[in-house]
Amino acid sequence: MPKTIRKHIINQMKTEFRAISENERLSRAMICAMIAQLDVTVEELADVRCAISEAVTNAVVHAYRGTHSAVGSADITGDTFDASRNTVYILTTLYDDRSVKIIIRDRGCGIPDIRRAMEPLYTTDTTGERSGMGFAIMQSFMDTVKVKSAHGKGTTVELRKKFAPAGSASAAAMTEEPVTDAEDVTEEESSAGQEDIA
Amino acid sequence: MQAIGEETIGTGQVQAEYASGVLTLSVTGDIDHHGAAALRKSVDREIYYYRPKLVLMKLDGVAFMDSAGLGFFMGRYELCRTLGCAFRLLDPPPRVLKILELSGMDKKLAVDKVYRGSAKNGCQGASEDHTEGNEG
Repeated sequence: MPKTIRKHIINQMKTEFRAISENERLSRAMICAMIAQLDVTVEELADVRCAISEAVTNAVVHAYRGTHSAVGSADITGDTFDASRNTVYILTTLYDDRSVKIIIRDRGCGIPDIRRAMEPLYTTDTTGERSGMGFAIMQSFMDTVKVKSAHGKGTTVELRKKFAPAGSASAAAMTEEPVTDAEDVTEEESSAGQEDIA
Repeated sequence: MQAIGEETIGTGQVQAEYASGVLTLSVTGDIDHHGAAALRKSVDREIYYYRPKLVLMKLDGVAFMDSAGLGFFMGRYELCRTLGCAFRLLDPPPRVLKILELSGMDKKLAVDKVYRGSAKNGCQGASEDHTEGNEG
């Protein structure tokens, strides 16, 4: 259900990589390097960097749980590696209104209860080593976070953020960033058949 | 899982210093999900080895942190509690502090907010927010 909006794509990048933790940093670096084309502030870029890290980490940690128990090189170099089932896809789009849309998608197990998964401090982890703050961080660092998930088909997280005008006074004053919690749009759909990334 | 000392450049690394009951662990680099496992291993090894009265985790060299860092701190806090020693976070860069505050963890964990600024990362400014740095 894409709305008609008067803005134009100025750049787009499609990335896909194995769902292994080594690629968390790689994805942050790649996407932030692209977003830097919009001449954003250090603070804005740091926000996006963190949000991407959360979304990609979720995909790496949860999406393919049980389907590739050995998340190691053996799986990757072996002939039997099934790329369609162990891959994270990211589509990054820059718009001429100084906004970015980042779609992070996996073909993993899906999230059974999105609302619950997005609750701060909720985690399926029992070791006490995970905070359950991933979605909360995405929501506070981005303008909108949308999650679609279907059991056995995968999860799609869409992150959007509009940046302050380049070189503006508000961009220079990095310390006081308005918290737009109230504007966070959280949308859940269980019937996620939508192919955002073909 | 990477062995201690084999971390690639950029992933979190830790240096330990021990003096009279105080174990200072200086963390540098990134604290993310990928690096957390190795960091956890190194840090826990030092804590078990020295059995200090106070663990100070110095964060001014942290270049990046996400929610994996929160989990990492919580885990160490719980370990210290089990072993009966105090656990404090020291000098978090503004970005790290932002995430600590966002999660409310700055209230649960003892945080000494004196950031002098590490030369190598993009975090700006020093905050003048002195909190007493004694054992809690």
